[in-house]
Amino acid sequence: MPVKLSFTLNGRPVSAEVEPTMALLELLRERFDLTGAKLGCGEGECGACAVLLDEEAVLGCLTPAFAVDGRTVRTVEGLSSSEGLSALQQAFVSEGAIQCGFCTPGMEIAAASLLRQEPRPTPEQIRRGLEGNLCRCTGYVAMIEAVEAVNDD
Amino acid sequence: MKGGPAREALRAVNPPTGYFRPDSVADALEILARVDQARVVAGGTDWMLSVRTQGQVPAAVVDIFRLEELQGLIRHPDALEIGAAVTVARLLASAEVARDAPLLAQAADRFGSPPVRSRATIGGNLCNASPAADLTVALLASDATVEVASRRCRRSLAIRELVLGPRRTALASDELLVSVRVPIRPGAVWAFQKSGRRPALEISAAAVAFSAVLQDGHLREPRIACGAVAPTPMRALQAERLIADRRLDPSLILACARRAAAEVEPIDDVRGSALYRRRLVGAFVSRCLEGCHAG
Amino acid sequence: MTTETRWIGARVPKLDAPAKATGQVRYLSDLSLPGMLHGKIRRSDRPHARIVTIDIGQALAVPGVHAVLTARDIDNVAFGHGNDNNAFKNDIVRCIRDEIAAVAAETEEAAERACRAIQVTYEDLPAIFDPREALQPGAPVLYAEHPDNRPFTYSYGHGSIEQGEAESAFVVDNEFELTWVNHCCMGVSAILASFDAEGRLTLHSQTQVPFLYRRDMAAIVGMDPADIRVIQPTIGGAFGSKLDIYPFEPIAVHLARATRRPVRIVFSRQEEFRASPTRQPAIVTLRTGCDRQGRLTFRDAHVLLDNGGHTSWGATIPFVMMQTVSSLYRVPHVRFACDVVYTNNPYSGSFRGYGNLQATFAVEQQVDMLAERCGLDPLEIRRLNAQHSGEETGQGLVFSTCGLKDCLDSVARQSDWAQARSNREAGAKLRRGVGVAGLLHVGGGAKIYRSDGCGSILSIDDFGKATLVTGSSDIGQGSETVLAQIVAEVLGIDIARVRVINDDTDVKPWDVGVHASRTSYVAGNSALMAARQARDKLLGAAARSFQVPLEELSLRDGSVMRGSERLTALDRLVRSLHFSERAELLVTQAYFEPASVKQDSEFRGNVSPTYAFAAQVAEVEVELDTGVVRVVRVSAAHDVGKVLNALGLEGQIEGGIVMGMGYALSEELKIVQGMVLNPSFRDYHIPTAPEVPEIRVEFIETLDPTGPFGAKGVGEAPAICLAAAIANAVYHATGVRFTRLPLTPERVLEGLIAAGLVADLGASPCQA
Repeated sequence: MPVKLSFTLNGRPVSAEVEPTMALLELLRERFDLTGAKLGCGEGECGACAVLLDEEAVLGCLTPAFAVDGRTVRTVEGLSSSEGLSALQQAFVSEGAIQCGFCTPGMEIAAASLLRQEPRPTPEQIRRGLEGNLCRCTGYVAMIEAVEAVNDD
Repeated sequence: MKGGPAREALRAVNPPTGYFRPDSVADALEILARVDQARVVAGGTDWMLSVRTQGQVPAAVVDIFRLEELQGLIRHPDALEIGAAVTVARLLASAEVARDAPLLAQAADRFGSPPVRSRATIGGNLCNASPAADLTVALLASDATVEVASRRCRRSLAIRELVLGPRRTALASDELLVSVRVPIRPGAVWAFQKSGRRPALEISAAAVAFSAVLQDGHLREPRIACGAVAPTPMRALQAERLIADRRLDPSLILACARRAAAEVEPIDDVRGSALYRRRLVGAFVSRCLEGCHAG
Repeated sequence: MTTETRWIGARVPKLDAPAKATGQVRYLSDLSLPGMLHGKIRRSDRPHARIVTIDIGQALAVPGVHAVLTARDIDNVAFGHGNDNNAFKNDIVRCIRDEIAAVAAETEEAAERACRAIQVTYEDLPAIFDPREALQPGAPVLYAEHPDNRPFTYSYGHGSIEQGEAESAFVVDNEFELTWVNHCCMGVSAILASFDAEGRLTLHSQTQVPFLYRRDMAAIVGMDPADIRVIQPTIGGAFGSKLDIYPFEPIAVHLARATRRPVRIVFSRQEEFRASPTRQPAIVTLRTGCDRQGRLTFRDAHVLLDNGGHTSWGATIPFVMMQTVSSLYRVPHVRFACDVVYTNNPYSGSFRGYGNLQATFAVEQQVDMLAERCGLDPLEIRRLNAQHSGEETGQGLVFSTCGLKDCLDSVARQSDWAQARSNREAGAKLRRGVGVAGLLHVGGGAKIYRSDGCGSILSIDDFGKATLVTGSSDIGQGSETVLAQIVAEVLGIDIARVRVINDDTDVKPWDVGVHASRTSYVAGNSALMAARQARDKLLGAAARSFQVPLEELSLRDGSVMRGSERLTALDRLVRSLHFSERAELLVTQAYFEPASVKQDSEFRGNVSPTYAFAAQVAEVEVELDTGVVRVVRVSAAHDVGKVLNALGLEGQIEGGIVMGMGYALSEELKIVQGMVLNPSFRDYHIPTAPEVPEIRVEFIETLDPTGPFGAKGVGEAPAICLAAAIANAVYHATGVRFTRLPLTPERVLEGLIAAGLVADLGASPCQA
């Protein structure tokens, strides 16, 4: 029994029909070709699939697709605008927070969610805010600095 | 070139036939009474995982995440009432929880990770009945009860009556957990300890929650709850009896820690040996008691 | 060498960072081709067994299935360093994970279902999981051609151990044990194979060594290497894991060939943990001696490597281990022996550091033990034994520049060493400790093939934009940015006007690949040569056309300058060449071959043109009641030759340190009876953001005479010595020496209880 969904995706109204067992990540990647969010583990342990649901970070792999009906979804593709990179994305670039880049979309989503709740987070809050996202390249240092740099602006 | 992820890893083999999103608890109970093998889903974090890794696809899904009646966070004079669909993120953000149910707040702080906390609910976590569920350990030490409803009746269960074994609860197929009631204990001392180096993404090898009322230096009604050391979170009743109505001193703390370590029933697995889990229980009970001894 | 530079040494963001920040970059798991099928592999669930029957009937009947292949369907060519691996196992499986069959289907779930429907019957064979037991007479034999289960041995020596012993006042002797570790690349293993109408093969691959890969793949699948094109899309981390060919890659080719459709294979995370190569486990038995003053006298090492059921690059880490044993500090007498032994465990590949983490863990703990025996401070004994620039070691490694002493001085300063050493108590249940370790690693490649070179082609177009086609590859470490900086620096143009192409073997010239910390040095020198030629051409043309002396000209800000006078813009000059009677294109090419040598049969010779050195100090806290070790602060000093990109360098060093911390504290594949029991991030813990210590980094610039602008490679170095520094710090904190990694809370608490530091609260009360 497919479920009919209408929701706002990166600022535009969209609709879809999904099976109840479909994960949000699959909906975004397969139906809408938004490949920014990644399948890193499929078990909620790495954060690479994080997207914003009503501006709060959720995991695309553990959130049922039906959960977005009537709500607002923003993916990494929706963080930037026609004017270019968001301040957060620019900070990730200039602070060297990106190496292989596979974790970057999820990490930026986690940071965006944190900054919405805590516009001026302490370094400790930043670390805790990124604790659900794994990175193997950077050692997190530059990412923490990037979020601090947004905070400074 | 066009996008396309690993489909298999995300999609269940046999999709369920039904999806229900009731507007009221009464409707939800009606569906549960009527539809065979319906599965209640709140945030869906545990459910999606079971769909993907075990291919467990129910006949129908009852989506209760947004049910208004399950969102309450109400301070009664004697208890905090928490709706089953309240997320862990909301527990963490709530000043009432921090003040009146500090064990729950501390366990919520170590729960999963931020994007999991924004979906996972208190009711869902209880019903998932994991032996290592930190929230359940905190609730057990808080003497919490749950309200369970069905079209037939409404009943109240203690945590230990609800959680029967790994992935096993006392809920009948037509029953819905609607709220959790955490008694307020004026003058109580609290402590929560869990294993691991990191604050998040850590399934406990052992966890201990402790509460008691401190009266003239004596511990009244001490509660020591332990997680990941038995098929369900358990109370260390012998250890509690050792310290009940007594004044703590270092040798009593040591005896209580040893007693708790001896009475838990851990197993060996990849997260730790049974012996290490006992040692952790001893260390954590000792820390909890020292904390309130010093305080 | 204090010439002013604009790009070299600057903090330059990675060129591809904006595309990655916006989610635009597509990794292999994001790519598909029209008509593409999904491949899945059926693996063995037995560690050692004869395959009796394989029934694929039910699998073929699954809707959407296009092909099911087994060893019988292909020309199953043996491959790998030991020539002991095949795409599909012919009749015997030798470890859990071994490939038995594969399916190509229209969806991944159909492929998965068909894989499960393949019926395999086995006849179990006696299996062996302990490399020590594998060497015993009568042990089960994995390969008849190796009745002693020992496919490789290594033996090296200089000086005389007997003499070294005679000169020693103190000798320490320990066994160290290192375990399996997964790379945990955030992007799992994947490949996309497609044939064109004329039978040419295009591979979208994650390989770090595209040219060697093309050659090896051609041999495995029976093709002319010239008919194979390797395209390297952006990859989600490598760290050495893509240095070899693994069975899933030829399997994808066979499936594509059988179905005449593009086939993509993407691992699941569980598969990645179970079936991708690991860091090589090792049992290191080491004796080290020193005289009364603390001067090292000898090292005598025996290493036992569990090779698993097949051979990949893990079997070759002794090359690197013996360098550290022979040449980290001055050691007059050295013996190194290694046995590589087959078992029915998973097998290991190459992993950042390539054996050096294992060797340094042993060597640097014994340096501390000897310091204690002869009453020296750990930093003092290292300073006493550290080499100088210009020294040649007993193994023939020539340290043209050596900043080891400067590194030791730097970390002493950064960590406030003397103060930190005197402050251990932090509470009744908490101890503090501080420890140091140093390291030596190749800093400009390792000549293990006849060539360790890299080619470059540089062109400047009519609009003054430079395109560097480099043989080298980028695996996320930022080499393309460093190469662009070099070109921009030499040509005096903005880095935004430099494009680097490095991802297509149909376009780029030869290179060995990304390994041995060679890319900045080797590809950097190659790009530098090509850029200098282009500069000379441009200046020569300008000198001719403006009738001015060549030596007065320079390139700056996109123009040809004579002193401070702007003669012409670069694009204009190129056009004038292009559209003149000379009709000259501004294209140059260069091939850089480092002045290193292939070692002789006794492993002697200067295998790298330069070497990287570092010292790291770890400050730890140990919870006495739980055994939890936390790293509070790391102070690092790295001899990098010369900083090329400060931003990229910091990222490499911080990332390496955190990776080293994971190795030290938590990372461990729990393998029992050949089976990985924790194939998930849930139970295999890599560090998370809250665990990251405060990290201080200082770069030591020794200006290597042969490096590009004086630089050395540093990609691997940062991960190498932290585990040893942490173990030394834990010893300082508790007095308990841990010789086995990782330092899990459980293991540490066991050690603390055994040493009598804390009561055993888990002992039953009647015993207590």
